[in-house]
Amino acid sequence: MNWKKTFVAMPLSFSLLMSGAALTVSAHNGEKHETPAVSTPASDLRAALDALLSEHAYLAVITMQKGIDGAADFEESAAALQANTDDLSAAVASVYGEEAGQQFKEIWSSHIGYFVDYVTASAAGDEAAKEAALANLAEYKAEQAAFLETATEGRLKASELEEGLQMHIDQLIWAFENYTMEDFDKTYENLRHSLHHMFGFGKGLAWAITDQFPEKFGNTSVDTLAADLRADLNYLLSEHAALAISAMQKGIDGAPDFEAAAAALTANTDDLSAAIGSVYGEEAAQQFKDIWSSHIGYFVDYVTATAAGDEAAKEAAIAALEEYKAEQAAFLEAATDGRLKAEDVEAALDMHVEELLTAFNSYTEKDYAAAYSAIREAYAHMFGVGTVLSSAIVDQFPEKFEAEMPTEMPKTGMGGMADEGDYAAEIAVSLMALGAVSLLAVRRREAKNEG
Amino acid sequence: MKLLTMTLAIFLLAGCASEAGPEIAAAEVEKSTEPSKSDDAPRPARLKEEPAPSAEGRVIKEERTVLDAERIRISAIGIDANIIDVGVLPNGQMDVPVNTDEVGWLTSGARPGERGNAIMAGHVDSGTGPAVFYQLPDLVPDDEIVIEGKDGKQLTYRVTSVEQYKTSGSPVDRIFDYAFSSQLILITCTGDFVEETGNYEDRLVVTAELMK
Repeated sequence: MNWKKTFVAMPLSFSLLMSGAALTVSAHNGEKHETPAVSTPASDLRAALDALLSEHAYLAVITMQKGIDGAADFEESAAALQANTDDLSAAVASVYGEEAGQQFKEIWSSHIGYFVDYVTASAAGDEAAKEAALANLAEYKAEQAAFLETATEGRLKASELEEGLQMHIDQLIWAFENYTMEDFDKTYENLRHSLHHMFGFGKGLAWAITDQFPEKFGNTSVDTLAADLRADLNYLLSEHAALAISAMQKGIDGAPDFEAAAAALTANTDDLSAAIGSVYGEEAAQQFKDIWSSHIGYFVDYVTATAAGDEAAKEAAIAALEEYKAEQAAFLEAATDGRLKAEDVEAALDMHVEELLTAFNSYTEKDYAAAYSAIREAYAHMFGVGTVLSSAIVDQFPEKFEAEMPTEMPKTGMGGMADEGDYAAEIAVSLMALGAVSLLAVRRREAKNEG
Repeated sequence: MKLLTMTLAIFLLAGCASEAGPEIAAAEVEKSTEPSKSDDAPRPARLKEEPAPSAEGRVIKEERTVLDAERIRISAIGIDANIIDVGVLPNGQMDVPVNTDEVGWLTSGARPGERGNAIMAGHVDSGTGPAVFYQLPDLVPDDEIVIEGKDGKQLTYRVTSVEQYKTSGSPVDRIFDYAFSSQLILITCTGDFVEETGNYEDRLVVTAELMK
């Protein structure tokens, strides 16, 4: 296995993840201090897996909706989901070899097939076929868990994986069931939970891999406060892109779940603002929220103008987005005390706006292949943004991210009982004698007296 | 079209005017970000036209009981002790409580109930007699360990392994790292005591997994 070569040549989303960030964190006034690192080999792996796994959940929920609706973009949505599977399988292959990658792909693809079966059965009102699909999903769960337990040499336990996979299945099934029952709030709550859930799985899988091949990851850990912040921001930012794309589609379609999708996007903005507030304070959070919400508003303007065929209004929305970019960039430059340069932030926002508009315009022009290509790009891009933003924050407040783990075992003895000799052996001998219980009782009393 | 424009206007409102009480508002940066509910977004217009939310509709989210550890009970070896927070010493050692009847929980590791290793250390002896973890070597797989939180909630762990390592050869990279499982790791001294260093040569590491 040529790890290094294959891992560097990671699939589409991973390379996007790395190159997608037009941003860099500037060295601050040339100061040199030991800063907890956001980007380490381990946290990069974690972010790459988070990106692919959560994108899977998003595309699966969306594809199931498109399926039951008989939507014109169902095929392309399913193709995007398939492309995500290809990327995920390539990631697995880069760690565990081609054969394992192929095996993973077959197992993983099977569960997507069963979800499709479930949708088809729902469309036909065939309860027995729905039950059959669920039974197949249960079998899949066991197979997938066994594969991962074996691959990770038991670091991920099959029983726990099955639990996690069951939650993933339930979240997707209920996002779908609530959608068909037109309980759209619950649809989008499940969608949000299903995305978030994948970040936990991504961390676990990344941990298992880095624990298994520590030297390939420079002995770095997936579990640092900086890596957690990065994952939190990655989650919120990528979810923003996902929900914005869906809300824009639902908006132009006049879909009944438009408001629920928009409300989920608002809830995401609230969470993102709160995350900003936890670092920069309440006032900054409110300011961020106002600015951030404004760009969502301009996208809405754009959708409205598109619906009305009003080219002038579309131009106005684009112009407003230009202003937004400058305002958002200035805010982030000021907040990070110059660590993020306004022009770099503007370039990144430019990309975000471009991706969302391309995704939307392609959708309305029925060029669905282009739409889903832009959707995947928009989603992956946010992981670059999250990385850069978290890097700036960690660089700015390093003390908040210094949760040191020990490098040496604790000193848990003072020798007071050392004269007793090898007490372990002694106890073993004592246990063979029948006086074990009373001896232990005496010892416990001694211990108590000591305190 | 008019309807569309109207709903889009609401979208805009929802984007700008929500007075949400975000769940993570008061949270530390370190806390993981749970999605907040969207209930607080205003959406008055079309609500009446929508069917009533189904009572059968479910929202699936991960729920975990996570404790601020206060007491540890191991009935198999008669331990019932207080737990205090400990950190890391300047030399990189995990710290331990001064009071040898107390157990120290490593604050930079996982909390009991979270995914990862909740790590606790206790003395095997003081300078003059046995201490809180004196009987730890007696633990065997399947013995139960109960951790009680400050809120009175309890989590029960099941011992999966009891291992002895040379102090310098202990798998610190594994012990002080993440784990997908929610595990409890108890550490104490064992082996021979070396007078010159004032240190035991070995460490005893008990690993236990959270019982569902």
